[in-house]
Amino acid sequence: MDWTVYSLYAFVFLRSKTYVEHVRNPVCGGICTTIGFLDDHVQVEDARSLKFSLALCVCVQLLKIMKISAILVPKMGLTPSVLKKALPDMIFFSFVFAVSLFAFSNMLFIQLGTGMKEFSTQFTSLITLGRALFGDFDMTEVISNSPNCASSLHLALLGRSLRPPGPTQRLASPPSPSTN
Amino acid sequence: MNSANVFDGDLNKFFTIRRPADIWQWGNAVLWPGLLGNLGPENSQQQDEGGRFQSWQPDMAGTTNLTRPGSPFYNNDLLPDGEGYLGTGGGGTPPTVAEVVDRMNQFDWTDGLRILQVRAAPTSAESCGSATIGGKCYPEMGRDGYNDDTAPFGFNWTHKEGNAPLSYPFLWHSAVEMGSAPFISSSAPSSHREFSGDGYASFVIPFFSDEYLPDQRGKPCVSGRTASGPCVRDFTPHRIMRAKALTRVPRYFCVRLSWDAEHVHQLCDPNDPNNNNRTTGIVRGATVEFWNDMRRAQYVDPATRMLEVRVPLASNPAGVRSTARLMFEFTSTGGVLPSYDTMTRVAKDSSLDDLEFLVLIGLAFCIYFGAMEIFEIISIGISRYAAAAPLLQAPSTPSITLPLLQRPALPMPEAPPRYRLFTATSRICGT
Repeated sequence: MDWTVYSLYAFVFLRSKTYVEHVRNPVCGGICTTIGFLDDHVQVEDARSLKFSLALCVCVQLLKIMKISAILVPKMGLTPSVLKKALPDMIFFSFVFAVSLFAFSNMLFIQLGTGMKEFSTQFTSLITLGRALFGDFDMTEVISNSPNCASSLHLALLGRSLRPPGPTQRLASPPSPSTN
Repeated sequence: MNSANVFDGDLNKFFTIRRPADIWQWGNAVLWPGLLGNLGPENSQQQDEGGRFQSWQPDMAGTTNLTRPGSPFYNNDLLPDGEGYLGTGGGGTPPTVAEVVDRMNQFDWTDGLRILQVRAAPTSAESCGSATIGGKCYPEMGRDGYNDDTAPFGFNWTHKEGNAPLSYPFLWHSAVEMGSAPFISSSAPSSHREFSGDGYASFVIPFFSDEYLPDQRGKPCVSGRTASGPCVRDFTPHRIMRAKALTRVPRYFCVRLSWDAEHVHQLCDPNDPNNNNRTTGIVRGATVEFWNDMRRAQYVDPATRMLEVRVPLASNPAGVRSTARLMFEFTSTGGVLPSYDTMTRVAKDSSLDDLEFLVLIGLAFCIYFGAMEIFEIISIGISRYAAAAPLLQAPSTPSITLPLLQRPALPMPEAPPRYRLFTATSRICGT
């Protein structure tokens, strides 16, 4: 995890240097010289990429608080312990869940794709089904504000909420004082 | 603002645009009023009658005629201090140039606005793989037979007899020529397609000038280049951009319009000496007419596949910049799919300085802690480090590594004395 943060930070550092360089020295293209319109797409892409790297880096760095808190108070390591115990179950469950999601999205794509734009492609059908399952997040707003990055992070957050309930949690949780 | 305001009596907004006619109405009712002070016109579209500003003058020698018989020019660029709804119902005061400057500092789009179109080249029904009436086909973007069109186009609405071609048609330019992105991606969840960055570009560039620039049409003069004939005066020496120090006073509000990225129409508001040198509103008039001239030239037709309005914006007091892309995708069935994309970033020099400083501090910490990890690797060996290091553990289960670090399954050798401090520190800080 530490090395993940270091590696991500290397991206942040390099991106920030590029961004500042491009913002301070914009390149004026052919039409910029004649007509006078400077297209800032390079700075925009730099900023987007920088924000993406920084967001990931900060996220992982803050997740490490779980690690520190578990050292200080071992009981606070419950969530990671549960996830660790449940890891094989989660992998198999995720696979089965993904297959069922893919199957239903295919079904709805074929059935509704010609009539509803939400199901007009395989990908959008998956997104729509995901929205229906996990809550009606305004993905349009998310994508409009960050078409490439935030949507994938958002889906990662949704994926993180996929936890098998009950039995595995009981396996991992320490016995409560009342049962002793 | 441009995506939330309604543009017709049915309360349609940007996201409910569904046909080309909606786009032009949205421009008149939302886009241009939004960019020009976020104020609606006092008399809707009165200034758009076509031919007043003659940006498309066939011989490039026309003049702006504000006193055409039967239709005197009406100033629609007024402060909201009039009567009626939102104070724009009549009797408003035209702003001075200083007031336009203040308005622009709040919502600055003096970098200009670009309208870009990607078109499908006509192909045969056979290439299209489908039966069509008349044998011609404009394929869906990316499907069988699709190629980007590069031919000039446009409808000559002033000389409709004989279907005369447009004197100065819309012209195709590559992304490299324009200095723009090679691909433009859609933000519409039901599309996510990538369009070519090449296309037919038109520009609206408002600016402030310290000197009155005459009303001119033609190819623009460029500093340092010798023009082969008459050209429109270069605005670069007079254009007043964002700056920390006041070197020149903005005295005139001007605009440069270009429909084909080769010719421009440049004009400045002369200010009204009979009204305390307040603006006359011709910049807004010319801009709105330019937009509607594009409509009259049938800028959007069945070959259109994508239209993008790109506006670099800035809020100068806050030092924040944003680039807004408003995109309309056109399907081969005639539907319109709107989407937008914004990207905000800081522009203040002090913020950029802070960024440079803080990333250096972050880098120093990374190097410090990374070095300690390396010392630990050297002291305990890579195999034991790998068994204990968080790197090889699943990121979502960080505490898996903690028992290993605290009570390692394998006996950890005593670190050499010179590494003990680093090892202990890295165990605490490396977490």
